[in-house]
Amino acid sequence: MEIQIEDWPPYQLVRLGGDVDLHSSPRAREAILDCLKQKMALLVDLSAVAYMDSSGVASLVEGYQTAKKHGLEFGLVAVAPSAMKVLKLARLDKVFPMHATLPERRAGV
Amino acid sequence: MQALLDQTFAASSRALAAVRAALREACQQAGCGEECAEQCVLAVNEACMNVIQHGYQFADGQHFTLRLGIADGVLQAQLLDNGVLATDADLCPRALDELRPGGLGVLFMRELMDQVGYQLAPQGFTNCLQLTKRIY
Repeated sequence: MEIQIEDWPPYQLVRLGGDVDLHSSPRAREAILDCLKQKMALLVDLSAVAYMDSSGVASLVEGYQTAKKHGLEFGLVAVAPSAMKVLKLARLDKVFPMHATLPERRAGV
Repeated sequence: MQALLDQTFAASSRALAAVRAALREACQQAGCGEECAEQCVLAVNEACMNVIQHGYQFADGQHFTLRLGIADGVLQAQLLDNGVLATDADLCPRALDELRPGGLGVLFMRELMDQVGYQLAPQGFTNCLQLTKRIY
């Protein structure tokens, strides 16, 4: 699994790629929760995810719940079809805020 | 029953990519379409995760065996392990109206396969989880 973290004002952006499975999802979870510790809104780009299992979904749920608890925005961006199928299976496709594309960067925010 | 796969894997999260690759190949050999193959791979991967997490509790040096076969258009996967004894009572999916991380594996298995249940394990194994799906 590949992880990239970027500043994307007014968000932090976590890009996940490859297989998000039991082996790699602890790193995804850690990246998501670490970003939320900065008390910024968070977007998770799933466009390059090839495979996601229930542990990957659990990492997203934990991120969503943590963000909500701290009053922070949390959303998924450009969800790859493979990941969308799993989110639908978990009936979470209507729970997570979804963005088809990345919102425009707002420099200086 | 035409055998498609009979392979033993380390019960480690590191092995899951190899498990999925072997499953994909076996599903293609069975004549599954791409969508059907991905469903079987996801369901059996979840079953393997349960063995690693709950059956062996991430202990090192443990193994499981995966057997896949097809008969009369029905794909049958058997997952054999020597972890904690499991029963069908362990295969109850959690309520989906409760939003929490975890507990989705059984739901995925049940949604994606036609039947999921424990069978009498062959000699040398504690558990035999069987997942079946009609593919044509």
